[in-house]
Amino acid sequence: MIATWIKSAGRTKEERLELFERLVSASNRQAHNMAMRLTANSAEAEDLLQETYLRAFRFFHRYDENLPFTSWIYRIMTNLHIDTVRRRNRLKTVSIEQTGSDGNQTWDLPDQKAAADCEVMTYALEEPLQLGLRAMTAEFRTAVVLADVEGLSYEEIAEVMQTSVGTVRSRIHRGRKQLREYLDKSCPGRYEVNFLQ
Amino acid sequence: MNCQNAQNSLSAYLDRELAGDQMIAVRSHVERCASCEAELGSLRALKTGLASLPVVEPREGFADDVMRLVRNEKPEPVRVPVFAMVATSVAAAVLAVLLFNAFIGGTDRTHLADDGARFDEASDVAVTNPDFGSHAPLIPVGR
Repeated sequence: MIATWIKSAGRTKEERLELFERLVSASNRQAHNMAMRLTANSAEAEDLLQETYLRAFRFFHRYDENLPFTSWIYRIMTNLHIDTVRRRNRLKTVSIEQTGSDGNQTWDLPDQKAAADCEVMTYALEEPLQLGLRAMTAEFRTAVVLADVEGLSYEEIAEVMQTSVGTVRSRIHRGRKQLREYLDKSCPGRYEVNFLQ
Repeated sequence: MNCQNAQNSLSAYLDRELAGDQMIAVRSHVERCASCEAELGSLRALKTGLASLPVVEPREGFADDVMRLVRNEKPEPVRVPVFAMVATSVAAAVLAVLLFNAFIGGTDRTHLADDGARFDEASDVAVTNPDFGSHAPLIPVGR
């Protein structure tokens, strides 16, 4: 901790930027794939990854250079992702059919498909497995993606998710069960799940 | 091992995250139990499917756009950790007390002799200090 602080404090802003740029350049492909697996949507993945890097730079002096940069990025990304999902779940949803108490209120909604670059900017992964991931609980999805897509060990996942190995084991077990139930309902047989039940 | 215990351990077994004796126990159960074997097969298919999902590349110029935003970002000011500040203050205080004691103790018990040597009043022994000559600092002399 002290060594990290001394190292960071000794760098100029330009030196920090240069090092950070090298790390972004080396990690953004892998981190983008991780963000896509968590969000299943290109626009959301970009937002998530962009916010992750901005936060990483803001706290760059806390980064321990003896540890892999991607692990640190994943830690920030998974925290952001879980927070975003929780916040979204807390938002109260209102039907667009609903009008105000006077019966005159209308909703002015933008036409999302009107933007010329809509199709370029946003596309969702329609792969059933990806849709299954999206249907999972955020914590379970994160643990399963880190294990099966990124190939991390339970200990590494525990480090990224800042929890115990036992919790990781339970999240992966329950997450895979969630995913299998989704696939069993949406596309029986495709992932050899139909013969189980 | 019964089916319930085995099924709770299948994911960790598949990931080779069980201890050696547990790995053996699960394996021998799966070899004898068709339903757990099927469960393991389905988990393996899921794992293989996830691992073989294609890598989704970021759009061209994404890293440059990120760096453009980063350059406008103000990093959080580097702060000295609280415990480092406390440790530094304590060390400074201890040093100050030691120096003060050294000064007081030195003036009480020694004085400079005319030839530049320190003279210990208690023992009536002159201690020559060739390094400092007549400007020798006051240093307490131990018994």
